[in-house]
Amino acid sequence: MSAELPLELSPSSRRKAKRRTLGRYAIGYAFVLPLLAFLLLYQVYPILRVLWLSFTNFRYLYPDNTQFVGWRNFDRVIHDQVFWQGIGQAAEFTAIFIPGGVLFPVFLAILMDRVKNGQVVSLYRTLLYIPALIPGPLVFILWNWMYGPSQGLINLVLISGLHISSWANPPLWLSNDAWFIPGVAVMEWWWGIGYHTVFFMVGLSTIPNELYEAARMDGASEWQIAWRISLPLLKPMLLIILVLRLSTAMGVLVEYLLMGHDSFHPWTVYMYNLAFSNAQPMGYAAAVGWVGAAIMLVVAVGLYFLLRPDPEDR
Amino acid sequence: MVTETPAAPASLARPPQPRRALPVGTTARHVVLIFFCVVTMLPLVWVVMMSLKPLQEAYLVPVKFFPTHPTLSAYSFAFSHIPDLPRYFLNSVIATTGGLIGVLVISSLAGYALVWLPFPGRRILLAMLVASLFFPTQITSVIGIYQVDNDLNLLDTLPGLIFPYIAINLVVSTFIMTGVFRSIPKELLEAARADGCTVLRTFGQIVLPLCLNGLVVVGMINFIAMWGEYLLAYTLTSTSASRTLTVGMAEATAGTGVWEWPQISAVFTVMIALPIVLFIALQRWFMKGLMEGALRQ
Repeated sequence: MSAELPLELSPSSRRKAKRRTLGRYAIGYAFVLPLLAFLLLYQVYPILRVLWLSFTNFRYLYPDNTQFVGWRNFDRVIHDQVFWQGIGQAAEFTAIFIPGGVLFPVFLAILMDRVKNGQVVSLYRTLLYIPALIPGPLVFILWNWMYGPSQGLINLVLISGLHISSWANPPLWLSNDAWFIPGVAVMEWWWGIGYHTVFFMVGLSTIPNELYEAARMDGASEWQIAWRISLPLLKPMLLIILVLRLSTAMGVLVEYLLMGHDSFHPWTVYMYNLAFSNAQPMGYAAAVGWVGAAIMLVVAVGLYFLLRPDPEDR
Repeated sequence: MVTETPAAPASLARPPQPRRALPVGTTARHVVLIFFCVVTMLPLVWVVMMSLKPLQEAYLVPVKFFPTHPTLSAYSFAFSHIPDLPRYFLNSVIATTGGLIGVLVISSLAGYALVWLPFPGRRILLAMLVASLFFPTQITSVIGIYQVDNDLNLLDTLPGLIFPYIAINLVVSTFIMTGVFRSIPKELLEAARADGCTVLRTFGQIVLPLCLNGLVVVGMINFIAMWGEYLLAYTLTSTSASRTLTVGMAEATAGTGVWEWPQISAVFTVMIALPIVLFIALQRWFMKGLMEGALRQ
């Protein structure tokens, strides 16, 4: 652009050039303006509003009595047994979900990476990916039926198919305290299996083929290759998936709303019920939400520093 | 394997390897993969089978997997006799279409500006978008979104649902689009500029047609997110004026509903068929889009 301008600028043409650059900035701002408007109105403002609420005793039905209460809500949250039990239950769910949710896809991706026939790979990938095409809430509704004691698919396979247990006394699954959290975790494994496998396959495709060939020349077994080459090079992708899944698993809420069970009350359910229940102490609910989010952030950042690729590795 | 034949002389030096049509490892690999594929598909086949059962067969104990007398009556009954169902369906279509158009237009405009249009504050904005991806406040912000809709008198309206749908999906979508736009060669844009193409025309007529794969990725991800969204729809809507099909389904299955099993399965099958058919139709572009930059950040 500047090359087209004459070398000697008269004052008027310089002003014109300046106006032209301003005009070019204006186009850039115009392009991001809708983004900013939506984010400010429905993301930034709501979050700030929740932040403000968390320092008040706001109740939805009695907005006129709202007072600023300082850190009192937060103090209450820190000493709230129900909240900490809720964090504990969310952590329990996360701890059961994460290993299978990550390891099965890694395993499948490594297996599929070895299949030479492109069409077969694409068939496997499509079939495995299909659950990821189903919106989460519909997955929860589906699995709620699948765990049904007398009508569900799981008992159909177990009892009629494999002759384990009996129709007279079938496993109750979701209505059973001990099985509810593992049951939801297995559902989430199913839901994410193809999605995460594709992620890891992209990660594996960045590994140069010569590396494998060199290892085979040196007499490495397939297990050694998977363990020593594929896995370490998958680390960056693993980090992304772990951080991503950690925050969705710790924020498990809709699963409860759709499959609900008395013995499962993660902190998100506590917050939601406080905010939208009869008395609606939204100020306190907001504080619960902030403390929960802060804990998730700390864990995610900790995980990042634990697993980030070493600079020396590159 | 065929490619190894030219290297035959080398095998003289090594002990001859037995050639098998299917080595044990390969067979085991395929058996495991096929097992996982079958387990993955089983629940969906089961729902479709349930939707084809006549009423009395659905309630047999023990229940059977395949219908003995398959029928489509559950489909016709569900969509003609269940009150509110067509309305819920329409609401879902409107909310998803509105949200999708909004996200596609806004995220491609912003993504393009963030990559190719210079303006002060660009880097800070991009950094803030990336940082916000790791900010786990999606659940907490529901309380605030409810209040915004309340203030704007948008509770229980479709715009009151569409606006937050756009907002909550914008950051990820914009981020994906920046990856896609970055793969456009700089020379192309310079050539367009040299030819006197305005920014808007360059964007609309040259850049966007090249980025269709990326738009398919963003569109698909958002379609899935919005088509089955529950938390906001459940919180922000209360009557059939704006309730979506997902919330309606959840109500129907919660025990308070009057729908019969095959009818619920029929509606469910229709709801999941839409994204699956769409994905299979768009798969080629979707995978290309992922490889082109959507995933490589």
